[in-house]
Amino acid sequence: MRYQAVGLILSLFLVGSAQAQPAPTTSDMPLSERRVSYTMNVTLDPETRTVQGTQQVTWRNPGNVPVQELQFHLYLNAFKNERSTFMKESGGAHRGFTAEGNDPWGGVTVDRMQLAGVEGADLTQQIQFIRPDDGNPDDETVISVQLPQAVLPGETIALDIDFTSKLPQIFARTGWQEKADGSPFFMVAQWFPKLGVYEVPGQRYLPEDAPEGQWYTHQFHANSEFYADFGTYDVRMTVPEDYMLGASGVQVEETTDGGMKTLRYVADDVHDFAWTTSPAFREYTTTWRHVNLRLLVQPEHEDQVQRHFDSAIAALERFDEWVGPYPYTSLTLVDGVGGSNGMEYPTLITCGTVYKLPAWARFLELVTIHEFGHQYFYGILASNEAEEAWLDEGMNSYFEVRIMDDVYGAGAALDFPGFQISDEAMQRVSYTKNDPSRGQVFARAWDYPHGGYGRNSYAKPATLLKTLENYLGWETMHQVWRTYYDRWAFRHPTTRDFIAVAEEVSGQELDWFFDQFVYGTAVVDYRVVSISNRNVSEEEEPDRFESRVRVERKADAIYPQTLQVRYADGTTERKEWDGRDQWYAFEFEGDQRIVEAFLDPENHILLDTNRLNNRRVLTSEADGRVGRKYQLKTAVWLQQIFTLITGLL
Amino acid sequence: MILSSFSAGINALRKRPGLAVLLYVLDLALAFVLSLGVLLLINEEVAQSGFAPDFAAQFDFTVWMDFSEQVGDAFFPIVGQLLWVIPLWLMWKAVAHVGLVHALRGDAIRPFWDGVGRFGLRAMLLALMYVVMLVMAVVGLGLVIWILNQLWGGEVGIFWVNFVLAPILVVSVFAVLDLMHDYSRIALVVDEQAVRDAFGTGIRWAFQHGQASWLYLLWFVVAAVLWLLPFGFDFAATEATALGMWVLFLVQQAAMLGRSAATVGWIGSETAFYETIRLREMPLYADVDEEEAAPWSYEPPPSPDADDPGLAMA
Repeated sequence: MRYQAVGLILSLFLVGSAQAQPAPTTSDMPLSERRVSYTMNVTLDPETRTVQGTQQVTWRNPGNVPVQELQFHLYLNAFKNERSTFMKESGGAHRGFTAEGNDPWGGVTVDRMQLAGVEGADLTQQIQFIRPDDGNPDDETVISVQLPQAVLPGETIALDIDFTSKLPQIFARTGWQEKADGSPFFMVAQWFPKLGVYEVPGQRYLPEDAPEGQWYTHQFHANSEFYADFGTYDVRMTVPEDYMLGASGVQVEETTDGGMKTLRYVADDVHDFAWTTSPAFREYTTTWRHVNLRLLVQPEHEDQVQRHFDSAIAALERFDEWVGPYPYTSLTLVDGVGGSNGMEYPTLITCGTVYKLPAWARFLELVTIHEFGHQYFYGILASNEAEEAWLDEGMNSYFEVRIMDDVYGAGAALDFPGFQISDEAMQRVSYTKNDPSRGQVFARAWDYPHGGYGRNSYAKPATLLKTLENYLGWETMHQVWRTYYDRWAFRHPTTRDFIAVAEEVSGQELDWFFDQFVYGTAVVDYRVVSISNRNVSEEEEPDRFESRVRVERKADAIYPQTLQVRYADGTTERKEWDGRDQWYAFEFEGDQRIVEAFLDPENHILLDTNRLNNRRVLTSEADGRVGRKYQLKTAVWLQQIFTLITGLL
Repeated sequence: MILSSFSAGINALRKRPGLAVLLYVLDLALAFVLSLGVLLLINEEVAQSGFAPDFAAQFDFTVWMDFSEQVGDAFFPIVGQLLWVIPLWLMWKAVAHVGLVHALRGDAIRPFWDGVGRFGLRAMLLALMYVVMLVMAVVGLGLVIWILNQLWGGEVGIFWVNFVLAPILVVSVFAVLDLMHDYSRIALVVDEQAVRDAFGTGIRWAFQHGQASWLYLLWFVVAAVLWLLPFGFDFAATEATALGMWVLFLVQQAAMLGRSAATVGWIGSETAFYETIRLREMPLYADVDEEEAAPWSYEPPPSPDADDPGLAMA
């Protein structure tokens, strides 16, 4: 791999010169419906940590009836004060970060809004805050604008908007942060007035026969992410000349003037735009097929450049093969600061590592692969993250597991000598050992029980999808993913759509699976209760045994089971069971007695919350080695502890 | 001086290997008894589960978590035993060390238990004084590390302060305290000093005799290597068979026995060093009071010139 440290020299080449415009996607044709477009011109003031901007936003009415109202997200207002819905729900803390310091709060103000090209058509006074989810009067993350004239079906409206975005101290992946050496860092995300989604009848869950469409513009919640229409972005960002900048899409222009520089980026067929800038960044680039990868890394992490690129390319290769092609020509990896890390935006992801991260801790790889995966499950397959978080976080976690374990093996998540943890095991345990019956996967993000968002939108979906893969077989599951991509890329699929694809491709009815584990809270736990052997042979006859293995369904989920028994001579036999009854007895007859019974011997049912009780041997076959092993280890560790402690006195 | 003291320690060990065996056997016996709870607990849940052979061969996070959930609180009583074992063990070590000094001092063979009996109580009082010192050191170290973290912020600072500087500081400060404690115990036994005097002697000794620190460092390295070895064996070994487990255990025990031997050699060296220095520093003539000495003093005969004022002393 070849890296090019591009810096001042390249900048000088680019200054003031118009470049041949690189294309943001591999396609000459629009890949999406492009209902919206944003043209923005914004300037960062590092002193006040404010982005001042103008935007022209267009929206095309996709429905069959006129629309009189537009709705916009003002996500940044979630960080305006502690009374916003986001802050109330989060308890003022998000993934360990709290709003504190000397300049913690942020927000976005619409200074002016008017119909483009229409003199006097000022709409600023028409702006109203609305709270469609919880009615919190202090939440200002959604606005509604009544238009003087309805937008007719198929017609496009353009608005000119002036706005000011005051960045908060980094909270929930957006804002400013001053590093220990004093250098500033800005992650400008969820930052501009952004249209909600007007769904037309037949789109997602809106019935075909609904009289009109409906806006889906949810407030910004502590656990919710985003949902927007695909479109085009053309953004000019002005920052101090010595700052390095990365953004969604591709850079097409750079000019300098009076100590400031303006970079123009375009991004097509995406549904968001984010950027980052800092004078501290170091830049590295490489390519993979048609994709230009660019890494903006903190100087103290330059020794981990290779790890960033290796993991990103591993993800690119596998998503391309397993799901579908990556249609964009760029991918920017950002090694951000603090709470900005571990987030996805179109063609730009924040990764995150720490100084001198040891090779056996694959946190960097895991985050990079996970965030890249969102280019598919969020970026291209743009489900409503607020209403069905599992469709992006869960499906993406499933692929994170597949890729991590495929690339890094048994120690994918942690590879310490004698202590290896695969990503699959980590996700599985995060679900099974974390109150697995609490909350369902299919839920609006703000309806998850407290602490349940991670389990129900990441760990459980990853585990249930891997279980489904084991049930259907990888060949079928692979086809499910390819079909899902082909059918729903650049659209807004739902849970129902995914299930339909899975059933169609597999040729099986899968309601029993999804009803229990996606729509329901059923828990899987089967155990082997006992093994009994009775010698029924007459005297002088060769041995003949009637054997019985009793098993129990301990929890409420019903899952087809395979039982494998091992006979005294080492031979094995398998029997199937539909798993429905609470108790079940497998009957065997033969010349050997059964010494071991093993439910789910292939470890296919990862949803099983206790694998330890899946297997049992006769008392005569009990193996005390493991106890002895850990006893001896404990004895040595205790001796070590005694020596260490007594060394102090 | 350092090398001669070091070899004196080795000689002491060669003369009294039973002391190393005594320390080691008591360590092992206690650890083994305490670890029996782990054996019973694991075997109860795993031995008949069928996963035992796999689990013995390699770590399986999923099954291990199932097991942890299953046994849950049952582990706490095992760990809880350490609450009374460790203080008891500290008391034993305090008295054992004075027993060692007593047994290894000088050329004569002295019984270990005699030292334990004669100096044990005072050794425990001395240990208490060092506990106070230790607490003060912990507070001081915490403060210093906190200040360093404030001065040198950011993740680079956090790394160097907490993963490099802090461990070095902690080990250094604890080593200095341990060095002082060693010589306090030696002063308590060899010079039969009072506890308070021995405490002061230990502290002064560390500052007055630079060679004591080098001797300590030499033994510290030996002891540290022997202490770390069992961990190295643990990481390197992939034992799955019963024989493999016992072989690994025995190899680790060899290192632990070596560590006990190092303790004996270490204390023997420091005692020899102390005695040599004390011998050197001892005045050739007793510094006695003139009046007390009078009955035995030699009175010279009157000088023929005694009455001559010209020769009289002023």
